[in-house]
Amino acid sequence: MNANSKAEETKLFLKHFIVWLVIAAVVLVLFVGRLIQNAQAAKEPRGNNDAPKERVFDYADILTDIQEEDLRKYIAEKEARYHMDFVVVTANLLVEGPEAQEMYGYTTPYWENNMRDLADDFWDTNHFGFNTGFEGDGSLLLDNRYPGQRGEWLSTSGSVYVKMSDADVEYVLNGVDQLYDVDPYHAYINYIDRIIKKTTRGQFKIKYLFWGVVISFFITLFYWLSGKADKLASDTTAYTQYVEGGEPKVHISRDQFLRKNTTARKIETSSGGGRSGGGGGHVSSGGAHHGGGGHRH
Amino acid sequence: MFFQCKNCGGNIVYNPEKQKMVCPFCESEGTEEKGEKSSYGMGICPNCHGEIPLEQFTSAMFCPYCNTSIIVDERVEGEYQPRRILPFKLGKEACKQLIKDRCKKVLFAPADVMSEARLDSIQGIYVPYWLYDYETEAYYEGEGSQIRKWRSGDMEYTEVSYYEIVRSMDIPYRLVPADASIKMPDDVMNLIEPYDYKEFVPFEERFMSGFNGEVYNMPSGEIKHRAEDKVKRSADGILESSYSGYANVRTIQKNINIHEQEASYGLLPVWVYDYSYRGKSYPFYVNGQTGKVVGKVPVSLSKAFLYATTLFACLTVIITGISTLIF
Ligand SMILES: [Zn+2]
Ligand SMILES: [Zn+2]
Repeated sequence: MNANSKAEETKLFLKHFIVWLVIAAVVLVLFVGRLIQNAQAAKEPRGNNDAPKERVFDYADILTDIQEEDLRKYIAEKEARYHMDFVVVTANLLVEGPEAQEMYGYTTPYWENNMRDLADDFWDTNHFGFNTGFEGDGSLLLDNRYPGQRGEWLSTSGSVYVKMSDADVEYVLNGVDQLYDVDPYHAYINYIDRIIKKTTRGQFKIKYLFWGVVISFFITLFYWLSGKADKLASDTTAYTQYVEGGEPKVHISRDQFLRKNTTARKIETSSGGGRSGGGGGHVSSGGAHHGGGGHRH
Repeated sequence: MFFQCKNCGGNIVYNPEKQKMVCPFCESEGTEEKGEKSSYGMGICPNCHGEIPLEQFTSAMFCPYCNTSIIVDERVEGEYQPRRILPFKLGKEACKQLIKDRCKKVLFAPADVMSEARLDSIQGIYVPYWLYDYETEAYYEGEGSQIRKWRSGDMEYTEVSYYEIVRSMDIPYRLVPADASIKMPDDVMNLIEPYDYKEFVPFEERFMSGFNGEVYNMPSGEIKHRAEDKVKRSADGILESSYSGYANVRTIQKNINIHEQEASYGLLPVWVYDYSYRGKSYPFYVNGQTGKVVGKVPVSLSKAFLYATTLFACLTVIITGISTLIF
């Protein structure tokens, strides 16, 4: 290959890939920038020392002592890594009806309102939140085991409140529901894991690289095959090409009806169904913004 | 013999774009006159009298010493005189561009195949063809069915109607081509069709000035089976399309009778680009009238590897990066 065609090859290469190279470079810069940003954020110390050290308030005695200890360790580890508080509260509380309202001074007789207020107030009065004691980052799961009024409420605050959509809240609650009766400990672990999953965007994960490689491989394979395929040419000669006048001289063209037969068949039909749910944002009695939602069992 | 310019005495050639004789030296148009006939006979250049390496079927070529376009009289006269010729319509530059366009479509084609220096080697050749006329009788008899479906309530009905199909037709074929050149691959020549026969003209030597040419390599009887195959396929197709409206057809009887009428000798224009890459030859053939390109573009493995690797790297960075930034 001479110098001339080498220069030509380089020109073709750039022409072909310039857009890809520019996009890849931009993404790479943003990506590395984000990694640096993440690394610096991870170094930042806890900004709130008003909250108690305790994160697991097992008033209803749902967990064994070992499980409680494990959950504390798990929460401590995740808090340090993701910079948001996780609080688990279990209770045996009457939260519904006029009787409950009279006894505990709830503002309404409704399960949902009272669960929400209890959860939000517990968070507010204890000044939880990783960065600050008011509207700080984190979430609280209140699990009420009072017979006939069982269910959990998720209270979100700060960045967790901002980042989680109604669907995300629903996703976390569903994770708790899965193990609510059979394995409460892992139901709470699910709560923590799913909060992390829905709030820690912008974190590099090895599976992204894995899927990046796999998808790129298949696209490249397709590209490789399409770039190599070439055939001589396609046949463009019409079969009437050499017919004088372009069409035959037709003597007979007959289509005579002979007979017909008809068959019948019954049509099968089918139908389906669905479900819905969710929770939204509001202001607690303490004036702090919270998000979240609950599931009654 | 060769054509001389009346104004400057240079070798005047046929210009496909202008469709007339143009002198490449003084740009005069239509100023041709026949140069003197070589008194030395075939194999000697009538211009410089050098000995030229004339191959067995060559009827037109360029003198390797003085580059004069020579037409071999003995091979365009008498029994070798073509009945008709389709003059080149596509010029060399336009043809080069068509080959370039074709190669650009193949991603991993080496840039070299599109280089000006290589493309400059393309040559225009008048390829000898036998052109056959046929009368054909085609007959078909079969049973066709049509299906109709409809719904009524929760029932679906299917009705199949049967018809007797009869077709009888005469199909006249004119100038069915088969190339009479051993050098030209038959599959390529079939693909380079069709030519627009409206531009056929009676043979004149001047159309060959500036091009290469061959006389037919074999008598018409030897390759008529190729034309007959084309006729059979065509008649088959015409019959089939005449009953294509049916969902299903069962053939009862089909006859196609071919009667050869006449074979005539004609010349058709083809540009040939003989490209070789890594010791392998990748010839391109271009229809000198329509510009249809027939050829297989070579692929550079190193280029394919470089491109694929680059794409893979870019995609991996983009997908991983964007996943991290968004999720
Ligand atoms: Zn001249
Ligand atoms: Zn000469």
